[in-house]
Amino acid sequence: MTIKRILFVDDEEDIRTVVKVSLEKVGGFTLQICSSGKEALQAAPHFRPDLLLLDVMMPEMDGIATLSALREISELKEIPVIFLTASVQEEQVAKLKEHGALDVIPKPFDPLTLPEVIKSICE
Amino acid sequence: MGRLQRNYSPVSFRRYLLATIVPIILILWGTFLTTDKFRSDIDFIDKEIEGLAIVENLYDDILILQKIRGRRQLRIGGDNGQSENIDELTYKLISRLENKLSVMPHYSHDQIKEVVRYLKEVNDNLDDTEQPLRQFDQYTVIIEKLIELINTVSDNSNLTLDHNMNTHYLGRVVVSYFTEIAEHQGQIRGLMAYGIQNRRQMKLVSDRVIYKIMSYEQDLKKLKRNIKVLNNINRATKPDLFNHIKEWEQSTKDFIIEVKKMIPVSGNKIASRNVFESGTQTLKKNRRAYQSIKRELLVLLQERISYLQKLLILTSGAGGVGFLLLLGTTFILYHSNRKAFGVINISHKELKLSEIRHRTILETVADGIITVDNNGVILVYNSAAESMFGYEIKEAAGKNIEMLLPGVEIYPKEKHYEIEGVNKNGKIIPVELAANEMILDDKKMFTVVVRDITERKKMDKLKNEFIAMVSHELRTPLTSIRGSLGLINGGAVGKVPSAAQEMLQIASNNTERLLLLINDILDIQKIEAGQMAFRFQNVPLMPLVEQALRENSAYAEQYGVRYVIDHRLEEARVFCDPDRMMQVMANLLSNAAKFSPRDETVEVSVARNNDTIRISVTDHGSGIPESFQKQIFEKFTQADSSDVRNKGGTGLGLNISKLMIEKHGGHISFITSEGLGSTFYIDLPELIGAHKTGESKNFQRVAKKKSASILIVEDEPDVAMLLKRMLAEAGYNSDIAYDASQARQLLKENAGHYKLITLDLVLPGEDGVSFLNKLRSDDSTRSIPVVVISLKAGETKRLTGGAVDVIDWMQKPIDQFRLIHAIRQTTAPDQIPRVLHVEDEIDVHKVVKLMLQGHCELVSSPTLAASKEALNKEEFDLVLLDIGLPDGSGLDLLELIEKQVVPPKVVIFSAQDVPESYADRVKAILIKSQTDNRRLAEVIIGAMKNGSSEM
Repeated sequence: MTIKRILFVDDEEDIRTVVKVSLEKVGGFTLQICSSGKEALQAAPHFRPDLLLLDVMMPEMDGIATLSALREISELKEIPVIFLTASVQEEQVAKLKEHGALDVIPKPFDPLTLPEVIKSICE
Repeated sequence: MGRLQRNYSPVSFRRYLLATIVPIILILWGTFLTTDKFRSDIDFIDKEIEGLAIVENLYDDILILQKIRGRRQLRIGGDNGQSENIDELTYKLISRLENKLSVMPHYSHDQIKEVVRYLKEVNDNLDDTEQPLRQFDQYTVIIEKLIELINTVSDNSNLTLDHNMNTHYLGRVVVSYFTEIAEHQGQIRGLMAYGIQNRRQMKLVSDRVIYKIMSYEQDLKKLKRNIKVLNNINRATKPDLFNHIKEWEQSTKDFIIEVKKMIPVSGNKIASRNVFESGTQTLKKNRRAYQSIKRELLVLLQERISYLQKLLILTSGAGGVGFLLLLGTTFILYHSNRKAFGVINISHKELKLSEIRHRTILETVADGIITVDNNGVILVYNSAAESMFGYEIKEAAGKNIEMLLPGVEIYPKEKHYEIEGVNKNGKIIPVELAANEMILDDKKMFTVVVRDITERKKMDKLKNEFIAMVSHELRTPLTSIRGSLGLINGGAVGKVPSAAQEMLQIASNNTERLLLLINDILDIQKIEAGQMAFRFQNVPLMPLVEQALRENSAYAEQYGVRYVIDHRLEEARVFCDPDRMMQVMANLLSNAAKFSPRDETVEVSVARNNDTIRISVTDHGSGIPESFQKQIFEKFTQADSSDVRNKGGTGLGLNISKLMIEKHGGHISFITSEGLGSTFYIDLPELIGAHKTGESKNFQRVAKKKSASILIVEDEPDVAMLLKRMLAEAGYNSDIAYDASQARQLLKENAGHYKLITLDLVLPGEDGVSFLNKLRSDDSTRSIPVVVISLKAGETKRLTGGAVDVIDWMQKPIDQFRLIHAIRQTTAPDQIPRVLHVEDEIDVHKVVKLMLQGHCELVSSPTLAASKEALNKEEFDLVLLDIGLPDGSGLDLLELIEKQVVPPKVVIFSAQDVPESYADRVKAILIKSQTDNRRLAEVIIGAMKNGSSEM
């Protein structure tokens, strides 16, 4: 599938900035950036993303909760999701995949190749 | 507590009595034993001294006899100068001997009397016209009798040498051999005297002399041996004694030399006389030395006696004082506590008290203790168990223990094991159990000790969470830093002024270092906590080593270093987690490169070392300083702290490698030589029998059957040659085409010749995709299978399907085994393995089928019953096994599988965790949630290769 529009959620402002440069400038994607699951729920219906890129450990709503909530929105029922996580624990990764993640990209990631990685996962 | 103390008083009194009376008895007994030992030692030495005196006296008798013998010889020889004294001497000796009867012990009397009788006889009946040698012999017999007497005395006076020689039994050494040796000397001397006077019979004499010397030398050897034993014990404390022994030994040796000199000059009166004289001199020296030895010996024995006597007094005194003190203490304590001790005769009460005591212990322990009968019915349990499970004993007694601990084994195989208990409210409690059997009144019962490990589990969880948190908290800021730097350095946010570039590079390098450090720390923690998953597989080792070299060669280039394989072992197979092995290899290879001088090579070898396979990595660096060698495998170590800056790395690599290799049942170590370099080696257990049915041989067999030709389409000459070599190793012929047109030309020239094409998609001019399309449209080439070798994974997607059969795609670097396997599938289709896929979820089966298309024939079986039937009727090369089946556990099939004539390999692919005990029975265990498709395919294909090689 062709990915153009990505909804990205991360509570860390610095990481949001890096990902913004990486995906917009390097990758040429259209990006909607949110700082929390709540914000994502508001933005998603208008933005209509092709892909969700979610941080896992976030206050209030974590990545999995955000995903579940977003999938409640009828247009986003089947939306592919990739998680970005700093956790290297294998159980955690396995758990994310159980929740339907296409893949889990570990942090730290290389912002120069991040767009390529996302594309190849989606292919 | 007060109440208990009162109750306990009778027991305490018994204890108290034990505590006082036992030491008293021990002290008395000890004192008795010690003093007794001292006394017997003193007696022993006393006897020794007495024996020595007797022996000395007897020795003097021998000397007199020797004198008599010598004078007889002289008289026979015609020298009458001193002959008149012979009778005088004889009577002197007789009276000496007779006097002994009143002082010497009774056992010696018979022997003394015999000597006297014999002496009288010889003296009275001797005729000077007799054979002179016979006379000599007669005296010699008497002397020998005296020696016998000396031996008897020695035996009875503790003077006989034995092996358990103690310091104070010195007398034994000297006496035992001294007298005999002295007599040998005397005999020789006498014979010499005889020889001087009777030249005609000198030959006979010299024979006897030679015989005597021989036995003399033997005795001397014995003596020396004993002196050696003595030396070890006593030289330091008694130098004088040993000096005299040495002197004596020397003079004896000298005498032997003199005697030996005599033989060649026998018959020469003057020469014989000279020898005789010097022999006399050495004998005198001998005698002096003996006297000194004896003197020293007596001193030593006296010293020992007075020492022992002192000890005796001291010990008796100390024993007595100890005895009195304890007695006094007992008395005082008893009186001051008389009331408390009260009644003693209360056996019934004692029993009760003992029960209270045990009860108190039972009630005090934090662990639940449950006693059950043979059927698991609860008899009693303690209050810890009550509070743990929430049932009062009244409620629990008579119920089965299963109520509290479902699935408990009261005959456990392991001493401690973990299980889940259920309390009254239905709450699950993790517990650790230990069960023990006891026989009471001929009835078998079991005590089950239950420990609540909720807290421990909580702590484990907390620890894991902490690691996850640390991991997250460190990685999050690092992500921003590394990301920003990456974007700046990559030019994504505009050009960077050159002055800033260097600084940014420093920041970037150190970010990488920090990341490595965090990863390493987490690795160590995971291994130590047993959380690192190892996916063990049976793998051929050489391809793994080659891959490690390829992946690390770029790193080595930075240091101007090249890796070479200098010894190969193609058939080597090991049971390892390839990812972890790559990590260890990367560590060893990068270390070797870092510590090598520029333009050097690092040699890698794989060889068999006893039962193990040894992988060695050798560098030609400066070697490892000795001071550093011991801690090299510990955490945070680098030879020089400045090395961290110079050489990079975290100082954790070798520690991680060691931990990982140990998890593989292997061993890692090194050999180093300062200035010459180091070799780090890994020993891994070799998979027994694997080399006999090695992969490469198997490939050759296939190749012989169908010597297929392969067309390599690859523009990079190095890669093309590598492919050609890989194929050649497996027994395939191949031709290389460097571009699409060359490939088409070769295909046209050798129509029908090529059974397979390997294709690089990136080709100069016409690319691989276009080449493939043309291949598809041509009927003569349409059916040739193609293996695509590409740099990017995604590209293959666009190519699958269509008329040309792309049987596999692989990324560079090329995995030789996968390549060969893919080729084998095509060139020997009759050998396609059969796989029984035991899986109840149809979706999973579909996915697996898709993945393994072309690799094997997949037979689906959704239930245990169907699987059993299939296994009984058909043959399979591999069973892919799910555990949770609708009609039972997949593990139940293992026994049936193992019973097959050629047991298929088993790969478990399940959502459930599989107990480790199954690891030995199966090729691999894959957990569904943790295994991606590619991994699954690799494992199955790997297992099939391995499996078919044994068919």
